[in-house]
Amino acid sequence: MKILARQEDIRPLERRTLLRGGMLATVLTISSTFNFAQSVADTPSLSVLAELCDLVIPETDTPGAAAAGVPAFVTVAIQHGLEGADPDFDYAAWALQSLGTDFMTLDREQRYRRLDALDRRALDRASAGNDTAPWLVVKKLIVLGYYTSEIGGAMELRYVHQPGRWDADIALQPGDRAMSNDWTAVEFG
Amino acid sequence: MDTFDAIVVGSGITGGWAAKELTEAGLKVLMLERGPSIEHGKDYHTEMKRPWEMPFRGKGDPELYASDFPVQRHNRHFNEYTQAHFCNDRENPYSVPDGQSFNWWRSYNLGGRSLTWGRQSYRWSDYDFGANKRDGHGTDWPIRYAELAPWYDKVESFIGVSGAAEHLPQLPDGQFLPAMDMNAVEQHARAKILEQWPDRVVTPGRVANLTKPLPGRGQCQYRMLCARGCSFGAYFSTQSSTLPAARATGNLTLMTDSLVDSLEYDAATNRVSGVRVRNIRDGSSTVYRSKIVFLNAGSFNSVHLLLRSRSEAFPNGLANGSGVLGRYIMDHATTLGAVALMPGFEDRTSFGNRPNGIIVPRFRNLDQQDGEGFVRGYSFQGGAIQSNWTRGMREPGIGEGLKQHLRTPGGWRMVLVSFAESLPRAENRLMLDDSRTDAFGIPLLNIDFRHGDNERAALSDATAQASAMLAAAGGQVLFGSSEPGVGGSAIHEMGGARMGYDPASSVLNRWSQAHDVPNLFVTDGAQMASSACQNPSLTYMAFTARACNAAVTMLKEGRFNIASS
Repeated sequence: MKILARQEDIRPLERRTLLRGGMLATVLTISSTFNFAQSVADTPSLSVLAELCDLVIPETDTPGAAAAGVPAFVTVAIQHGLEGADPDFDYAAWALQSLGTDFMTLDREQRYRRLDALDRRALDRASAGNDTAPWLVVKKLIVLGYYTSEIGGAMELRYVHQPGRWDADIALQPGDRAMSNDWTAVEFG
Repeated sequence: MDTFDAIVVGSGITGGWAAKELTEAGLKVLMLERGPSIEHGKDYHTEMKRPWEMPFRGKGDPELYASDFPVQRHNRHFNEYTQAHFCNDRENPYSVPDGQSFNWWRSYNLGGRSLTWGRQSYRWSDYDFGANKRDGHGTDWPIRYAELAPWYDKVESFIGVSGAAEHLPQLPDGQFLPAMDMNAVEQHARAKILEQWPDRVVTPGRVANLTKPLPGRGQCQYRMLCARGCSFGAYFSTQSSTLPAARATGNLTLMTDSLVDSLEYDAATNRVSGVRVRNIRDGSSTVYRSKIVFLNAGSFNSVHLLLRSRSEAFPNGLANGSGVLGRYIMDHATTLGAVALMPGFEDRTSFGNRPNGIIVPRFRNLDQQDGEGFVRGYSFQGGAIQSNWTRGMREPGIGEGLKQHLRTPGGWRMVLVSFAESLPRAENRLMLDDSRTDAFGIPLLNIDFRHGDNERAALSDATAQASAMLAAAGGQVLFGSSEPGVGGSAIHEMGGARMGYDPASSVLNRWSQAHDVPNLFVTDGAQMASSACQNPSLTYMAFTARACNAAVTMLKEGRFNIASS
């Protein structure tokens, strides 16, 4: 696994554990400071959210958003109003309405095309409007949830808690991964 | 024991310095902190936390922030990791006139805002100390740069300031540790801007982070997690720097959870005769006595304490014979001057988190009055930033393509944030709000502050110049604003007990000593008679060290001896 060569903050054993399956359970255990699992169990719309998460960030050579526990994070984030979410709004129901009530019966490729069309409408200033605004919140939370998870932040990207040095100007090599904790970039970039 | 040589009110940037200087001079010192103790290292509970270890991934709980931190939450350094280092707005209210607002960002804990400050450390020059005299706004400073320079040397050498010498008369060089290098875009911008404007210098920020170790303190690890607390002691805070020095003397008594209700004044001797302290935990009240008192509660809180210390002799606040106590408060008018895309550097990157950026020191209204419609100046702080995964929150695209796109760093942007000097104006003032009290029964502080036309004209020019400079550096300017942020947004609130020659128009003399009450010193930002346009904390520290030296000399000369006692 070439991409793991730079995962300075995960010990080899942990990497293997994470990659070997039981991914969701592992991540939920890691997130023991907060009971995401319990919050999610009460949420009937989880399957829709989980599907949206994996459509936005699918499994590739690293796990996708659902395996990274993002659906649970998005649920809790909405409940608390993070990133401007409305706790009283049913985003899953809205998504089904916008994407078609048959959405969950479609195959992956069809689902992707429908969501991609919605995403482009929502993020295109010319066409964006109230009918697409909820998607902006959900997408923000999915991206936030993934890249601040251990899988997204430290396996898909690099996470280096203590760089120990500042190299002001170096060449960006092909294949170099972004550092997910480049805090200035995360805040302002 | 309830009698000391000196009592220092506040444990932040200047309180720590007062405690260090006075204890090192052999005085028995009581330092009072209204908030809880935070011990260096062991109480930095979030220092090693990763985002996935935090319930809200570092963003914090919006519901909690709305109820308890509606003001603090907008501070750039406030987040889920650092929230314990900020004061609770619900428990610590203040008031503003109808229709106004003010961002009063505070840290009520041991170390005060030294734990969360931006660490930018700049000297003032005689363009600054001479400004009031030159254009007639405010009253003349009774001090010039040459008198303060050795105290700047002392402070910089002790706290550790990283920076580059640039030989600029408007921003004197100091005792610098090696500078933090600029990235590819910033280096390019420096060269291009100098080409067109030889008097506009893009240079690394001068920052109180250690690029080399100092005794007892490790060097910066480039985490940029400073406000969580740094167990390496790699940035200046009370905890990392002045408190250990003060404790090492054996002369320090530190009391936390100890709010000063009022200063007691004895008219017969014309002295502060006691400091009435309320224990926050059990509500008990005790009077402590000392020969001298240093106020370092933070600009507005020091003024608040004087305003509420009313007596027959000083019905409008202690040491307020002039009537200007509370007036002439300032901040800096700050806004996002310009942000630009900076193409052409896609093959360059950096490694590490630099807890610093770049600055462009003031270039307007120095030897020539070249600013249109405004006096004094402005400066910029900012940097070039390479975008990262957060661009995925606002750009279109989903699926494998999005994931692949976010795998590598994105394009560069460069940002220049403007800081315009705030003129001292009488109508910007602090008052007691006698109609409302806090949980301790203390009248609230009312903050009446508005930016003026001069600040707006300066920011307008700043926006135009920021855009021109970024364009000259090859940038595509996206946005710029001339509208100042709400008062307090620079976190440089200052003034209210200004220093001056004349007891009839100022509160403090050239030694930061109250004209009216000789054993009372105010050495935090309250003493400022003008604001300059650079970050003020280093100047507060230099003033504090200088005032401590003066106070100790006065003590030794017996100047505070009271014949009748």
